[in-house]
Amino acid sequence: MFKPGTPGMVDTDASPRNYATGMWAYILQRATGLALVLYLLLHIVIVTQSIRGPDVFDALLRTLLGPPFLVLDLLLFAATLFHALNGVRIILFDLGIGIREQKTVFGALMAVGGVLFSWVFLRILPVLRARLG
Amino acid sequence: MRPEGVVAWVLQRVTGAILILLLAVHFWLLHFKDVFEPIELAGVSLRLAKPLFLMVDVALLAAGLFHGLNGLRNVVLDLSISRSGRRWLGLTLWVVGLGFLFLGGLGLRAFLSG
Repeated sequence: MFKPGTPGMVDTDASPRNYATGMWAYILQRATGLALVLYLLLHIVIVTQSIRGPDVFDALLRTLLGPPFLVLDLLLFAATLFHALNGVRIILFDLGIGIREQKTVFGALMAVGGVLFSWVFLRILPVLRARLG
Repeated sequence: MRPEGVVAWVLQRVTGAILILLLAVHFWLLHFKDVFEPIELAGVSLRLAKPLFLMVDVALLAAGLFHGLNGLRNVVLDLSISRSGRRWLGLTLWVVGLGFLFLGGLGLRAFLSG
């Protein structure tokens, strides 16, 4: 962790080495946000293929439920979880809740995220196995 | 901060909170409740025939587009662009947002009649 004035160390805020928890949270919030908005637009285009009838739509969805896309879905779920839980932290801070305990709040929310992701991962695993086998 | 900036800031939090609740419903029903269930047009049509589900999807579409595109706007605004650039950005994102809202609406309508 960055300690101001450490002898022999160049104090550059710009180096990721010196980023504190909040800075990583901020960067990840933006990165996942950008990924999610791109996904949302793509998702709308895909679901709107319903206008081309059941044959086209069902065939498309069968492809999109295949293994490579399921793995991408898990990544998408991880990004959504991070963005949502860190979003909770942002809203709490805006309400003045937990600012002093920010690292604990962040850690607790990420622990919730870890549990939720593991639960979903274990649920999806048999599907992935079945579609690969 | 300009008044519209405050409105956008508050709406970003409100839509964020709405999205957490609705996405939990969306993920659970479509992807986690029965993980082996195929997603087919007929099945989606059946679900969307219930007004509550249709309302959830319309709310997800509108709140998701606002939150996503306003978030994108926040990222670009941090690059401190010019006043006219900001105006164009806002205008472009509204056109994109309304366009995708219309597209999503067409998609939902196809499920309802399909």
